[in-house]
Amino acid sequence: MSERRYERRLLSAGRERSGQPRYRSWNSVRQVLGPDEVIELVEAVGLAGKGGAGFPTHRKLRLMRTQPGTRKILVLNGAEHEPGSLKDRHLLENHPHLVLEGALILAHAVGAGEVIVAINQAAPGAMRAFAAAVSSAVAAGVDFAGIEVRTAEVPDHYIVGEETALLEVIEGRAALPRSRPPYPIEQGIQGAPTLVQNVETAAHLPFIVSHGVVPTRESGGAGGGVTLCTLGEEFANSGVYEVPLGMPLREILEGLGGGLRDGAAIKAVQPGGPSSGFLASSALDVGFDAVSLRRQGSALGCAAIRAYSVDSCMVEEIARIMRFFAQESCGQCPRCRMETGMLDAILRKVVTGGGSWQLLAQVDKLIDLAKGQGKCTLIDMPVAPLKSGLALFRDEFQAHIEGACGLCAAHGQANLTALQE
Amino acid sequence: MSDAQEVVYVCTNVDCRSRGSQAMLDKLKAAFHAADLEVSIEPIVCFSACNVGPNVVILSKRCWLSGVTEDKVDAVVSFVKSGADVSALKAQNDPVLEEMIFQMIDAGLLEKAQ
Repeated sequence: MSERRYERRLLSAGRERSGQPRYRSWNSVRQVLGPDEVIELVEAVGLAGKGGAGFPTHRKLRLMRTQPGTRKILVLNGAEHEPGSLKDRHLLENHPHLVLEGALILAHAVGAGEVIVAINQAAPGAMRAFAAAVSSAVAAGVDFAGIEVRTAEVPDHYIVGEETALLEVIEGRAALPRSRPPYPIEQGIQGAPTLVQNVETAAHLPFIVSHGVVPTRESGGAGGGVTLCTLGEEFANSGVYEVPLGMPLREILEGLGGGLRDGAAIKAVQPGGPSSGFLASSALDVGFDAVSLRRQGSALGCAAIRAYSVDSCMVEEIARIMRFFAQESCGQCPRCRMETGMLDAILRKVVTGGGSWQLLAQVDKLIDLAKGQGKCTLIDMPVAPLKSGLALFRDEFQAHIEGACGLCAAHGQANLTALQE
Repeated sequence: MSDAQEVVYVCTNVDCRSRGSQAMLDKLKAAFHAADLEVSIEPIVCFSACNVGPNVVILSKRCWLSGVTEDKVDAVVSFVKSGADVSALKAQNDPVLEEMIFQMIDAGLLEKAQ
């Protein structure tokens, strides 16, 4: 099974055989499809946002379309701060015309006269390629229909990926999530209705417009189209792949990823970034789509797939994830600061041999106290990996509590140094 | 002074600090010293009682005191020394949070590594 088999579907949409962009979908939208028809098409296809939350795209589009006011803004979120995810910068760098064409179609659908494409400053190649694509499209005479397209370079901090923090950064302020309501769709940049969509979500539009509902749905085995995913560095064939939704996860890990680089067997997988629940090796035949993964207690998220080998100490890995969320919490919500900080402290205690089940029993109480108390969803992010990890790797936690983790002993203490600080 | 050295935890995280916990901690340290009490004052991470900070936990008495501003330092010292009434400094305590704070401490979260 080759990467190319999937590449030719979504990622080649909108290109001539020569590889040059043609903007045929954009032209067809302008000439034939009205905004409402585009939104109906998106609804019929069942496109869900590709940034992580998986919200039905048509609902956001429709809400945005009905907002009052003459100034409306579309922001494409290419900040991509989810560790392990490379798909958005891959799209911007290698398929910038696809992103631009999708952005124009989305802007047309919601009546936005401005498009701002936010790109992580750690991805300069993505910025260069997208800026060049805009220039070359203008030079080639592509009519933007008055839609102004510009880029915004954003800092490489996790919280910037959160949509309201992103808007703050675009407006020149610190990356602190806003309280909602009002939602960005009601009052976003400079008070104007602002729709935030992930870069990949926009990149699906040219294919949807050019192929229609049935071929798009059938391009995915589960009837939901395709999605991009990123296989982490630990895989023999790491990188970004286009896969049909519903494809068995094991087929992605082994068929596309070629298994782990070091040849070790896989003990567990997080299919949707660090905030997704762990799947045990026995659960890897699950379909790679939001509904199937949710049934298994995990999530599709932004489809950044991380696999852990049988040689990994999962207590140490979970402690690293807890440390990550504690460090990345912006600190403005007390309960988030408390929850992420305490979970980090508890896991640090356990991983270094000073923990107990009594201490781990506090995890549920901390999580309950924090529930619904944050301005953004970072407060919920440690929950799934920690709870699923405690359920799946109880023996490893027990070994740490007894100070007898054979996996850590095999690695040596060097790995734990950073966690002890 | 008892055989075991008294330990007092003072939250110096963002909110408590913004409410003056660092200045209170310094004053508390001086006041214990002046009262000839051997007390170890440990800065701690947040216990999520930010809205009623600065927060202080007196370990041997299983006592959480909230709203401990600089002007309350003498009351804390009297409490540690002779058990003087500090109910006013407990008035804002959330019982659920209080239970969790001591469960965390009992579970050894604040014990230093050997």
